[in-house]
Amino acid sequence: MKSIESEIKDLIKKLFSEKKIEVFIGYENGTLPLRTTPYFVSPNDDLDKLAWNRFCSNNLAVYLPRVVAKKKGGNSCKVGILCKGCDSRSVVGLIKEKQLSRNDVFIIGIVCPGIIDTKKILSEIKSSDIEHIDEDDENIMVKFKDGKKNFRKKDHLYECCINCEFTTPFVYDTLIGDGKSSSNTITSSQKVAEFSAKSRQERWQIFEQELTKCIRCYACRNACPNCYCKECFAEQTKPKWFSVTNDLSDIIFYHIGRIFHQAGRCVDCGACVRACPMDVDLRLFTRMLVDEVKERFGYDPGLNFEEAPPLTTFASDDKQEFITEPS
Amino acid sequence: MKKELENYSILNKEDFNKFFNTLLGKYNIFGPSKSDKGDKLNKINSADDLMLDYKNFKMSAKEFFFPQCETLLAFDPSTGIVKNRSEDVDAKNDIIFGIRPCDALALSFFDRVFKDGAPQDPYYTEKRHRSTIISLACLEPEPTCFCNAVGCDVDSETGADIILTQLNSRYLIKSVTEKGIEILKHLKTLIPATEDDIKEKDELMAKAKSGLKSNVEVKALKKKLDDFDASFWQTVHQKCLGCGVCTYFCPTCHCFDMTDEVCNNTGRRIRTWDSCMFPLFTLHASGHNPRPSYKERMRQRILHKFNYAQENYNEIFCVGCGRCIINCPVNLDIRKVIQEILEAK
Amino acid sequence: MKNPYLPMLTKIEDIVIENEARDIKTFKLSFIKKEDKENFTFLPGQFAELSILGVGESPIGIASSPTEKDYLLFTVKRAGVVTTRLHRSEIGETIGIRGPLGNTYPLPDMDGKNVLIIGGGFAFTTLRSTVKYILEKKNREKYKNLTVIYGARTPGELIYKNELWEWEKLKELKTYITVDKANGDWQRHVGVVPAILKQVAPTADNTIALVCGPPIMIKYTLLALNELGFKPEQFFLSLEMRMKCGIGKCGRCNIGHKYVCKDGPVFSFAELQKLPPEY
Repeated sequence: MKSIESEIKDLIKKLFSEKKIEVFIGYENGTLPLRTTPYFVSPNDDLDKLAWNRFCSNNLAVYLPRVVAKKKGGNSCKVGILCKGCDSRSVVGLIKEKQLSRNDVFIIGIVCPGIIDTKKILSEIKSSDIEHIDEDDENIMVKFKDGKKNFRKKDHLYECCINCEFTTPFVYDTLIGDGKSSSNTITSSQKVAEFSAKSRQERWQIFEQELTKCIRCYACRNACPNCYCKECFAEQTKPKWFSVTNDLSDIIFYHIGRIFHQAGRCVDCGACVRACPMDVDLRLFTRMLVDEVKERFGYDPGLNFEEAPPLTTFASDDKQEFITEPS
Repeated sequence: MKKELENYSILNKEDFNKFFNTLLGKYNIFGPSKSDKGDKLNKINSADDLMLDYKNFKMSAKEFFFPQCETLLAFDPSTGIVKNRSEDVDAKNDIIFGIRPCDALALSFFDRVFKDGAPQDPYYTEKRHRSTIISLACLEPEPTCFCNAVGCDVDSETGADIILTQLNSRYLIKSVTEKGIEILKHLKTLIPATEDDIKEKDELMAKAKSGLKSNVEVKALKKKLDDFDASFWQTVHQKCLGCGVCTYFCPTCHCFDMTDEVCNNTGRRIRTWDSCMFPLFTLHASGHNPRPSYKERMRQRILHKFNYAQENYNEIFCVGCGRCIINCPVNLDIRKVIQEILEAK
Repeated sequence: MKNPYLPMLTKIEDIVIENEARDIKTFKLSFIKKEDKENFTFLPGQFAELSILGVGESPIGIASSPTEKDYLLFTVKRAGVVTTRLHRSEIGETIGIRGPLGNTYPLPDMDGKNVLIIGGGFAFTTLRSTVKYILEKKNREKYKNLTVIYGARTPGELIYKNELWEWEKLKELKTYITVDKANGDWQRHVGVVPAILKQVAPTADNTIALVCGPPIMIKYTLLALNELGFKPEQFFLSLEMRMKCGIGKCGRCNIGHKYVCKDGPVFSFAELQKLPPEY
């Protein structure tokens, strides 16, 4: 990975020196084991801290609208950003929805080998006192207080990475990596498949059970690049759609509203699931939506600028069996 | 008995269930047990439900005294008749068993705001009066713990009525307050502590303290933070997503919202957790917002804890429990924020 | 234990539409319970949380004077959810009230001093309370000159008009009413409040100024007061912030370490200079 990291650094340096960007959003190593954290690079920062590794999980596109907006009013300025496949799809979505223009952003696309689910690894280690982490092509080697353990990368990917069809960004200014990736075996998500095979009642029960954990901190919403509304329906007072309590009915209202607002927009980056401090498996529901949109409209969001989002257009061959005559 | 041993006693592990069940006869006990929402305070019906090998609760103990959603009053929306919320007053008082010293210290900060500051908040104060806090000293702090940096410690007593330390095959029990002494009176399972017990405790505590790895130093922080327009505010907030995780998980954050609810012709006025990280928190009806961006909101959170609380209460409203660090979706680490502020020119 | 969250109930006795835009109304409220009336003692500058059960609460300055014994007046601009609903209320409806909340204008410390009242637009409510309070015979003799400078954008936006015209006739005070833009047969001052303040040029000597108005008026009024030789300790501002509890618990109305609901809403400019400019 080191060489990719230095390739990224060289490119950022060049972009700054050519004044093509004013700020770059990438990753640095975090303060917690097996974690990175977003890193806002300004022109004079030395790039020593910049990191690219299998723990670069955050979808950085979420920052673009506010960083770009801040720069507005001044001369045209570009934000540089490091984008994995899913992140680049988010950027495309934001551009399509006019939250920024293509000229605002310089995308360093990176072929994503699949991101490792920190929680999966930590759940297999009893101690939280991690002393050292190493890796080779196949494995992450973790040395902790009372021992050490190897973890096969392949078996510890985020759920959304396991089935990822779009590890290579479609839209970018420069692409880093060789276009092939290790995790790219397309199988339908087992968890989601199991869930969708269940009866309606069972699915509702699981839905309720998952959401019982929710504390309405809105981390899922705020981590999502698609959730850029200035005022979310969840907090609106004029009109007030539902209450601010943590009653299950209010929580469900919030999630149904948010999830359905993602139809034809969700790129399955998993940001909402990773952000959730209570481990609500939101992807069970969002991925169902992704599959549904794909099946009905043959649409994958964020792959190009031309194709119109399915919920904004009408095609004569759209499936419409859900439209029923009032009885 | 030596004076310094006066408030200590010993409970052998084999007597623990007996001790606990005696208390269960007289009190409602809330203690750590597993749930869907992670390890948290739950009502304990038998000593077997207790889980004492936890590191810390996922959610802090504040939710017991300051629930995420609490009814302040009920009313009939058609007649406008207001009732104080109906409260099933239980004859038994409560024991909060096994919270960490950091959570107990945080409660003492809640006391400053809700109980000691006029006017008293009746809902909080009532619950606080009817409960006794039995805390459990930390033997093995987490890597995210930094209590020692903010004036708390693995064996802090403030906020607790009784503090327990797990020694080898027995518990050392110390009554910190009159309330604590009262509860332990006449318990036959307790035997006097010896100087050896204290020595063992001191050794365990010294070892636990050495496990606290944070070296943030907050003494110089207040002064740095007096500069409201300091340039570091331009950058420390950058990656913040503006969600409520840090404030909801924080054992000292106490901001709330008040709203009215009407359902099936019964109304209630509720208070719910709110967060200074939310844009609507300070939004005026006119559209003006004194804290319009992430920068101002992040500054408010840091200043409230590390500056305003010192002005108003001579305390730092942070106990170093590390929950905001563990749960932040972008690993925005408050220790690092403090460090960056201290290092800023 | 007294529950500070419990509203007392009042009845709307009268509603007056104050301005041409019809978005400012004054509500005359009387307590339903006698003991509530007796317990509600306040001084000018304080506010209360008005509530409509099922809709919510809104903090509103008390516009009546403590000397007006039988009722309370609240002048409310229609803005948010609660005030919008309040504007739809009719005479006879029940309104909840919690208070009095916050501190007062420093009237007790102003004995023997000249009082200068400067108000703008709709923010004249607690200043009206103050003027009314001082004009009461037994209070009037405690203070020296009373000067009122009050302005609004247009004549139609002035509130308490009938009272203002009454005040103009009194010798107990000097009243200067101004509008930014005159229309029709406007005979009084024309010009923004800070400009009129400079024209009137009241002495700063032994004077306390109480100021309340929109931010832009405040900004230039402060400059004008400074020019006139007022020291920061000599003038007081009443601030607004989003509030919920009104008793210093809910944590949202702070400016620095001070809570507007509890330590304010009235602050001397000297105090404000020590606080961050976050309001």
